This record gives sequence, C-alpha cells and structure tokens, in this order.
Amino acid sequence: MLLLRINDPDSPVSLVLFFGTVGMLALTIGLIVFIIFHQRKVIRYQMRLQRLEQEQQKMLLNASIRLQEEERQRIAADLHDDAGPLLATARLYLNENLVNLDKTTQLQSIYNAKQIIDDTIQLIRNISHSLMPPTLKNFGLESAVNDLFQKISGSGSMNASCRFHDYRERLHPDEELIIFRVIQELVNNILKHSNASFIHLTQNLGGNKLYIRLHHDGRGITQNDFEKLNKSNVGLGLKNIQSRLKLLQGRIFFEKDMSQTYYKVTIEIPKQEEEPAGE
Amino acid sequence: MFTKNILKALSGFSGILPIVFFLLFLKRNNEKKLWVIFLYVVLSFLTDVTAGSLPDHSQTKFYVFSFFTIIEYTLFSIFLYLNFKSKKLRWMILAALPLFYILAGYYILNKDQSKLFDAVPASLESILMIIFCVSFFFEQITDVEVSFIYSSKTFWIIVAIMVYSSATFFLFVSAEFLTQEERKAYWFINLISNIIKNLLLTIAFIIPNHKPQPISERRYDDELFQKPAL
Repeated sequence: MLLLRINDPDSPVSLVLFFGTVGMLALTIGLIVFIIFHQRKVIRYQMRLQRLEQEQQKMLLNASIRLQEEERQRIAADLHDDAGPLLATARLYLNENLVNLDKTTQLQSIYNAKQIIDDTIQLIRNISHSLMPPTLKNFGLESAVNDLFQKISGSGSMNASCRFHDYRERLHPDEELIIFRVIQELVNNILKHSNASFIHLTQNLGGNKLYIRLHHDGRGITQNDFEKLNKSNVGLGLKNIQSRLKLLQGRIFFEKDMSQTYYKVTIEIPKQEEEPAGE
Repeated sequence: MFTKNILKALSGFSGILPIVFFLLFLKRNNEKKLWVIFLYVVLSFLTDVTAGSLPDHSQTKFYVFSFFTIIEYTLFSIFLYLNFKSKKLRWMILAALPLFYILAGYYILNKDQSKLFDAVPASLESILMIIFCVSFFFEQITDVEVSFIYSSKTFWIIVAIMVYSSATFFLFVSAEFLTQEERKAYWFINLISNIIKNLLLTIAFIIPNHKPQPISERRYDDELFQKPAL
C-alpha cells in the first residue's frame, strides 16, 4: 500500500520518506534504549541476588565460627575447671614432703593421687569422646546414633528410638561425622526446646539419596520458621546444621505431620560417587 | 547547494575517523571481527572517494555502488556471524548470504541502469541487517553477563549498523520510484546516517577492550584487593 502511494506521481513522497525514516530511527533508538535499560535491570537483579547469597553464606560462616569458639570455650572450661583442680590435688598428694612421711601415709597419699589421676583420665576420655565419638569412628553412623539414642532413653527423660532400614555400606567417615553432628544438633534442639515425650529416627535409601527422618511430638518448627531463623541473627545451631549440610550438598526440611500431631525433620543427602583409587 | 556540498564532504571525510582511531588503538582493536569492520570502513571510504570523482551519470558509478553494496553486506554478515553465539542465527546468516547474492546479481544485471542506483539490493541489505541486529540484541539480553552491554565494542558497531540501516531503509526503498533529481534532494539522509555511523564506529574503536565475565565467576574480592605487581 505504501509502495503504491509512492508510485503515484501525486503522492507526497517526501512525507512518506520523512515519517518513514523518522519512524524507523525512533524504533531503532527506542529498541536500543530498551535493551540497555532492560539489561541493566537484569544485571542489577542478578547482582542483588548474588549479594544476598553471599550475605547468607557470611552468616553461616559466622555461625560456624561462633559455634567453634563456643566449643573451644567449653573444652577450655572443662579442662580448667575439672581437669585442672584434679591434677592440682594429685600434685598436692605427691609433693616433696611425701618422702618424709611415714609409710602408711605415703601409701595412702599415693592411693589418693592414683584415684584422682584415674578420674582425670576418665574426664579427658569423656571430653575426647564428645569431640569424636569412638563408636562412630569404629562402628559407623548406625551404631553411633543407636548409642546416642540409648543414652537419651536411659536417662528416662524421653523415649528415644531409631531404626536404620538400609545402611549396609558405610559412608565416608567425614560424611558420617557431619551427619552425626547434624543429628546431634537436632536431637539437642528437641531436648532443649520441644518438650517432646518421644523422638524416633528412621533411615532410608531412595535412588541415590540417603534420607534420615526425625519424628517428635513436642513443639517444633516448620520450613518457614527455619528459613526465617536462618536469615536472622538467632538460631546459631540451625545455621550450623545448614552449613554442615551444604558441605554434603544435602537439604533439610522441617514440617508438621498431616495428622498435626508430630513434627518431622527430614535430611536428604546425595550419595557421593566413589573416587577412583589412585595408582 | 553549499550546505549539501559541506555535508557531502563531511560524510566522505568522516570515514577517516574510524580508520585513524582503529590504527591509533591498534593494540586494543586487534581482533578478527574488528579487522572485518576496519576493512569495511576502508572500502567504504575508498568507494566514497571513487564515486565522488566520477560524473553523476556514469555507468561505472552504478557498478561501483552495486559492488560495494555486496561487499558491505558480506562484511557485515561476517562480523555478525563472528558475534552470534546461537548456531541457529549463524545458519540464518549463512543461508541469507547466497540468497542475497542471487537477488543482487539478478537485479544488477537486469536493472534499468539509467536510474544509477541499486535500490533493491540496498533495501534488502538494510532490512536483513535490521533483522540480524535485532536478533543480536535479543541474544544479548537473554545471555546474562556482568559487563554492561554498552561497554563492548561489538555493541557500538551493531548500533552503527542498525542506525545506518534503519535511517536509510526508506530512502533506499523509495529511491526506486524517485527521479535522479528527487533522489539527490533526499540524499542528505544517507549523508547524515553515514556520519552518525562513522562516529559510532569511532567510539567502538576508541573504547577499551572489555571481556565480559559471567556473573557467577565474578569475585567481589577483586573490588577490594589490587592484583600484585608481577
């Protein structure tokens, strides 16, 4: 139609040409400006997302450092308050004056010092076990979790049970330790905050993933609460769980059971491919 | 008439600017795709000089312009081909190339050469270039990179091609239906577009070379620490 009009000797070619050129230029410039602004917007959005992610990671790192410091302080306090006085008392029994005492008193002092040293050995063993449970190292995650739950049940405060359905092949010791620490933290939280009367743990394998689920009947949290706590400055333990699971590329879900009676916590961990043996 | 001559001279000599700046900043412009544009700028300048020295009704002038249209389309296509990431778009450019040659060849050989302007190939070139440039921008906005689009030389070159093609499109389309006098009267559109194109190409050759970095690979530490002097 436009060409027909141009073809007509009476048509205002100059107008068509003018408006056509101006229109095309306006469209082109408009398109270029739109692309520039759109791209700036997208990049800014991406950068903001990345910054948020970095802040989240920073918070996780801070939580992990703080937890490490707390653990160090606890060990330092145990050593200073318990092992220190015990060893100092043992030293008192074994002072230079001992040689000047009569034989019966000497024997009594040595016996007392020996008792105190035995207590100290036990105390140090307990500290060491709390750092790295020997059951976990020697017999694996299943035994270590069984052990932990038996201790909780044995205390009489709560009914704790666990069942591993498919754990024939042990995971890498480092992975087992991380999972055990996560379970420990979750159980600790349940003991401290939930006021539950029972706690039950089940393990399963699904595809190439390992699932661990904890049920309890106390006060719990949902995924929303978990995410809120994760973004806030509180919830150090939860942040620690998150950062530990991140190492295994694992995930955690907090939810309330359909029956509204129980709370469930599910941990999902992808099984790592075995590294080929070195030559 | 005086203004037109000034404009003509400015348009012709504006072609020197990108040549000079390309050579001045040779180190930062030493890329295959930029050499393609440099070759185009040189040929464009030489064509302008040659065509300007030929008489208005010369048949040689028609052949010089027609030959240049084909060269121009080829060089722009090579440049776009080197810049497209999508295989589909690369194939589109390759497929359009022989079609353009056939059409342009047919038109040049069968044209009423009294008009002295290859309107159809030039219009076809403009419309194809606009389509390819829009496709390029579309590809750019779907590919998220940290560097802003206008910090790349390619962006300025594509803008130059697109602005020139869209500004001259209507002129080339209507040139088929205009008398030589009328075409001369409107030729200032081409001259102004040519000046703008050369200025944009000059900007492209002046700006520093910026390699885009994917957003995921960007390290924020880079903004805090300087690299050690090696």
